[in-house]
Amino acid sequence: MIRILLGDEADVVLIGVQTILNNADNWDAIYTARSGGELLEVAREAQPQVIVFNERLDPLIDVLALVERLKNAAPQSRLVVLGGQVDGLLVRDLFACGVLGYLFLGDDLGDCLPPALGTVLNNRPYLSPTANAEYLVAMQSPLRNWQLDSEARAVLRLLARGLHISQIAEQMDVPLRRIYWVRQKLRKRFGANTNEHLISMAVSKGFAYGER
Amino acid sequence: MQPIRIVVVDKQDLSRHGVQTLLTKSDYPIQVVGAFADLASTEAYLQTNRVHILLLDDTLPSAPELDQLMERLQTSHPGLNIIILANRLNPRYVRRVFDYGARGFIYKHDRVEDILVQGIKAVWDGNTYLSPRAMTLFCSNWTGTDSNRLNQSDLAVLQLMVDGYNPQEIALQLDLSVRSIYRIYGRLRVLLSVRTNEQIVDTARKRGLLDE
Repeated sequence: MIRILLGDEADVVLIGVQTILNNADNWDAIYTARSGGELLEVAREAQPQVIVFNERLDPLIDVLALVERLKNAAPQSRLVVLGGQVDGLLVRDLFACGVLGYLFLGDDLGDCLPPALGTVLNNRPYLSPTANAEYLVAMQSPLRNWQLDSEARAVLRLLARGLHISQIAEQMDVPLRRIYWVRQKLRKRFGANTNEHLISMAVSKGFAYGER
Repeated sequence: MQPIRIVVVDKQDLSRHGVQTLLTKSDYPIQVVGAFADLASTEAYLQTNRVHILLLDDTLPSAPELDQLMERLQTSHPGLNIIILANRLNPRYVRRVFDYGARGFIYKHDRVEDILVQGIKAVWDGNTYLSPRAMTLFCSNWTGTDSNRLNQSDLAVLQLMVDGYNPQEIALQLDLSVRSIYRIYGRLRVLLSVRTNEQIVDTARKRGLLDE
C-alpha cells in the first residue's frame, strides 16, 4: 500500500494533486495538511512513503528547517518540494538536507508529477525541467559551496526581528566579525544591494520572519 | 437555467486542475468551457466563443500587465465578468484590481473549496465578491491608519528600499538630500514601531503598504 502526504496551504493545489494522482491510479491513501504543524503531525502518525509539500507551507518556519523536522518525524519518507520561485542554490541546499525531488509549480506538473513520485519511490532524485535548468546554472555560481546553514538562517531571522549586529553576535555567542562575514555572504546569496534589500529578498523567499 | 460558461486561466497545472475539479463537482449549472495555461490561448478563445465568467490567476501577467489585460478584456468583451484568483493579498492591490474592472477577488489561500461557487454565484447575480481573508484585510486596512499616516515621500522611499537602493541612490532618484532620506527612515521606524531599518520593509509588506 503506497501512502502519500500532501502539504499546501491552498486547497485548490491539494485538490489538483489528488485529481492528477487519482487519474494515475497508483495511490492507495492520500493524506493532506494545510500547515507545517499539521504536516509534521500527519507525517509522524501516517509514516507515508512520500511527502509532497509546498516550500512556503508555513510562514513561521523556513523550508530547510521544515525538511529537518520532517526527517526526524518520518525518517523513511521521501520528500518532494513544490516551489514557486525556483532557486538553484536552494535546490542544492534542499538536496543536501535529504530532499529527493523538487518540482517547479510553473512546469507541466500534470505530466511530471506521476513519474516524479515513481522516481523518488525508487530512491532516485527528480527535478522538474525548470528546476533542473536552474540547478545546473547554480552549480556554476561562485556560491555553490556555501550553504544556507542553520547559522546563516539564524542571522537572517534575528536581523528581521530588529536586532543589531552586535546584539546578534552576543545572542549567538560568536565574534562580531563572524556575523559581518555571514551577512556579507547572505547579501551575495540573495543578490541584495543593501541590508534592507537582504531582508526584503529573504522574506520573499520565506527565510526571514519578524515578530508577529 | 442556462449554464454559466466559465474559462479558467492558470499557469500552474495543479491549481488549474483543482479549480476545474471543484467546478465540475458543483451542483450549480456551471460549464467549464475552457482551461488555459497562458493568456494568448485564452484571448484567442475569447475572440470566437461566448464566455460569461473568466477565472484569472494573477501570476500570469505581472502587476502592470494585469492592469492592461483587464482594460483590454473590458473593451473587447464588455459582458465578460472577471474573477481574480489571487496569490497575493494586499489592500492596495485588491482596490486596484477592482478599479480595473474585476467583479470578484478570490484569494487562493482562502478555503476555495467552500467559496468558489459562492463567488461565481454572487458575480453572476450582478454583485461583486471578495473572499473572506481578502475582505478581512481590506476592511481592517480601510479602518486603520497606516496608509493615511505615510505621505507620498515615505511611500516612495519605502518602495526604493524594497528595490535595493541605498540612501544615496534614493536621494538621487527622488531629488532629495541624503539627510532627508535618513530623516524619512527615522520617521518610518517610528510610524511602523520598529527598531531597525531592516525591519521596515518586512513590517510594511505585512501591513500591505507596498505595491506587489
